[in-house]
Amino acid sequence: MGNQKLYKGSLQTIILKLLATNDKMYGYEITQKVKELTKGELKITEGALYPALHKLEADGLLDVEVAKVGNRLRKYYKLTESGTKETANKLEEMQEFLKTMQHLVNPKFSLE
Amino acid sequence: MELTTKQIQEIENYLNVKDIIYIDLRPEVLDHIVSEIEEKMEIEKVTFLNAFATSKQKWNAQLQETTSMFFGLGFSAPKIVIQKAKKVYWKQYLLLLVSYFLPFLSFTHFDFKVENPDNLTFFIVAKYIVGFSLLAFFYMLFFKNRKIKTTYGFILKSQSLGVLTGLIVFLIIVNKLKELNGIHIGMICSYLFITYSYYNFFKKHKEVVTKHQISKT
Repeated sequence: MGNQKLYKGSLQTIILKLLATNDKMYGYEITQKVKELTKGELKITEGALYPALHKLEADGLLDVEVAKVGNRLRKYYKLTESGTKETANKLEEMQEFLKTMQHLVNPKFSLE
Repeated sequence: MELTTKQIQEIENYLNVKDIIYIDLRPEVLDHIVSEIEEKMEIEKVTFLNAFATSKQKWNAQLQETTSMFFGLGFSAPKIVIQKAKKVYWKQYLLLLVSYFLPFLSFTHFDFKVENPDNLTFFIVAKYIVGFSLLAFFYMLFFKNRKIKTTYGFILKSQSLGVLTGLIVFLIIVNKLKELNGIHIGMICSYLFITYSYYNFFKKHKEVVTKHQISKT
């Protein structure tokens, strides 16, 4: 999609929000969920997903759980306590951003 | 449609060729590729070989061998490993700079002449700390989990020479010091910090190894 660049800066917020609603998820599941929720509009590549997940993990916002699924291991990500707090902050920031963009792009039909 | 053991082995071989032997990354890359192929075979009704070829095309860029100035050009690893290592290491790198410059700037005007280092408690304690750190360093470097690779292990490997040199220089400083000023205090603090962060990465490496070993059983 042509507007993939617009989503790039929001990837961490998207991941945090998904994990806040789904308790724990694995990498491939996240890409599929995003594809499903956006009806294929946003496709997260491996090259963007894993660096973002590893950054959130390094910052202490995500915790990792490894489980045996069938004949292979699966790595699940879930929010830590500080991750839950950060999700609320990031979502608030996102709402503000969307409002501002709405004012700029389409002042007549603002969200307020 | 679940992949057979033979098909999964084929993917494992591909990961071996690409040097994805880091246990904190290998299971998630393998799981992602397997899930992707299974779904493609089921929905698009393509063969395993076709689905695997498409996956390889997508993953090749992430798995290509690369280096980073952070760890030195002599230490190469797949891109996904380097990216994760950089995300883990950059904060430590900033703290390392702070651990040198903060004491250095705070003690700019400090200049203390040392008559006999053996009579000062500071130097005696410092010698013990360096001695203990050197022993701990060699123990971590040579005796524990050398065969199992993790991203933290990669960071440890790339930092080993720096830590060893730092500790030896620290030992020389403490032994032959005739005066103590801001530069010395900055160096001592940064060497202590390097040893501490080296230990932390070692601890993380062991945690990852334990987590994955428990999950395998």
